[in-house]
Amino acid sequence: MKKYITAFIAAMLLSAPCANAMRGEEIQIHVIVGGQEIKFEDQKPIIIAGRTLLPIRGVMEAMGKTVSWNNDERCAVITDGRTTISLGIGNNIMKKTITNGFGVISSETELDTAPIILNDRTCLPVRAAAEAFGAEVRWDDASKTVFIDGGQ
Amino acid sequence: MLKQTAAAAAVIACSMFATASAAGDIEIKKTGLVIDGEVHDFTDTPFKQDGEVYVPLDEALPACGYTLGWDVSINAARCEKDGLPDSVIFGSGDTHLIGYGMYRYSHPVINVDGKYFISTDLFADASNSEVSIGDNILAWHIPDKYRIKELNVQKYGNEIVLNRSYIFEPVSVSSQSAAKYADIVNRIAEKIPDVNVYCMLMPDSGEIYAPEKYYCNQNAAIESVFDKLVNVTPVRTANILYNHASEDIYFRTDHHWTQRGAYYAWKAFMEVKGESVPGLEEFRVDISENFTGSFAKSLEGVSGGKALDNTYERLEKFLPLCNNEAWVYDDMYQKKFAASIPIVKTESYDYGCFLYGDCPLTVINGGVKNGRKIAVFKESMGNALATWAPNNYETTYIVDIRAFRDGSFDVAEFYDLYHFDDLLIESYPTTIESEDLRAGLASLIGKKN
Repeated sequence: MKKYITAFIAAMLLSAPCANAMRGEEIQIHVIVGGQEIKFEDQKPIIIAGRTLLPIRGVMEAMGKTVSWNNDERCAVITDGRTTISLGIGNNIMKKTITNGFGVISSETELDTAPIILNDRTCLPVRAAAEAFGAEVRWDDASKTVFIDGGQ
Repeated sequence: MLKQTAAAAAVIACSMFATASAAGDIEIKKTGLVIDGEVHDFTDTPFKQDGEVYVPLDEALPACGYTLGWDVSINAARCEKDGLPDSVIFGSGDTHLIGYGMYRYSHPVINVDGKYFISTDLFADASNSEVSIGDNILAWHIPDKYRIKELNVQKYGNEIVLNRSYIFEPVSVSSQSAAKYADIVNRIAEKIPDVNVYCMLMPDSGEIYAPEKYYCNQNAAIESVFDKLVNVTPVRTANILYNHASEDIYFRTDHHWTQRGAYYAWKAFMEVKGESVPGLEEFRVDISENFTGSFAKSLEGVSGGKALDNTYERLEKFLPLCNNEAWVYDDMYQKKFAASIPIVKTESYDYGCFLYGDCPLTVINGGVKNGRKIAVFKESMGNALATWAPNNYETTYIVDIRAFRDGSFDVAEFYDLYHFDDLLIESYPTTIESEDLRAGLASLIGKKN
């Protein structure tokens, strides 16, 4: 908690008018889930190796999912009760289980970009995660916007 | 991984120099990066490419208190500092993660054989610092183009003889000495507020010609002096000297520069003032081939002839365009006349041919008819330098900093006597470093210092 508070204060300082003006051009990525834009209070969406990575908690909670953190396995676990996915930090294998009346179906999907932690936020390539819940993911390069629809 | 690159960096630096030299651009900085108002030095040489200065990633951010770790999975350096959001600088690409956001840079990262250099724009953002490379920060690292390959080395006291043909003395200048020297220059300038005061400093020959292992980075010390000057205009000479390093600008057996080298330094001075000097070809030149310099004459424990294959070298003497006469006095009032001397003595075959060696006060009248006057405070490097003054000043007062230790000189009174327009304080690195020579310069401040 302390680190979050510190980070928040630092964020406020960075955004304060007296902070040094940034020399680089900021690239902002917008995320719209079900027509609503998500505001990221601290870590913002990023692009690594051509892949857009989103702070998973904000996006998945907007989709109505529950996000938890398994510290032993260093993985984020996202579930809606029926479908559960787990994404390990630095691991490009996404594990998925679907629980239905017949039992549990497990599968693995190889990601081209592994999740990473940035500023205490787990960031992952959202397409695979969102599609695991049946959502449709669309990327508009001109506006740098991720559209996620369905899957709620 | 970041720490593995030091050795490679030297190779990279050399290759960068070669490239830059070929392009005629030697604006390669050894130091001169000002971070939050403080000048920082780096072991691995920052360099300039396409108008952008790049600094070593693994030194620059730690200098601001960041810890770095290399994340192999994303090929990036992760930069952490307690209390601030992390940043991620990628080994390639133009966008980087700074704090919580993502930013694009037109000149982000250069990776040369595994060593990462980042642009100052990216560095400033990643370190959340004010970073500048002001126009007045030009601490050039002198490229390797003219460095002599060390095939044979002899050491005699402080002097080093390379390949039985070239003698030099590595002189390092401490930051404390630089600060003390700058303080003296400032105190001189304070006493003559109506005078344009200039400070000319130059590197020794070893900085250009000796192998890099002897490199003392005198330019960094020179810049640290210039940084501290108040109401004194710096005169930088390293660039112009390097640009003419294929010529005989220093002696190979003497600690002085040649009159030709001094000419280029004087030219740099005039360029600072927005003025010009006649081309070298306009001067009649007398050449002697049997000059033996001070180094070769005074090697500790050995004669020059034993240490060198040939102690003789060329001595060029450019004769003044004005009349070749000057007057020497033992006091600042011009009451104790000592001698009438030639500005350049053709029948002399040592460095004393310029202004008769070291004299207390030398006055040159009859320079270019413009009514302007200059005073030059100097050690012996100034003897060759001041021979060029009559091309731009009608009257030149040349004061040796070692001649008035008895307290008989006062710069304010000196100004009241002669009302010179400009004062040029010339020093070579030994003067900056030497407490004794600094004391000589300080003695010119005067009794009320």
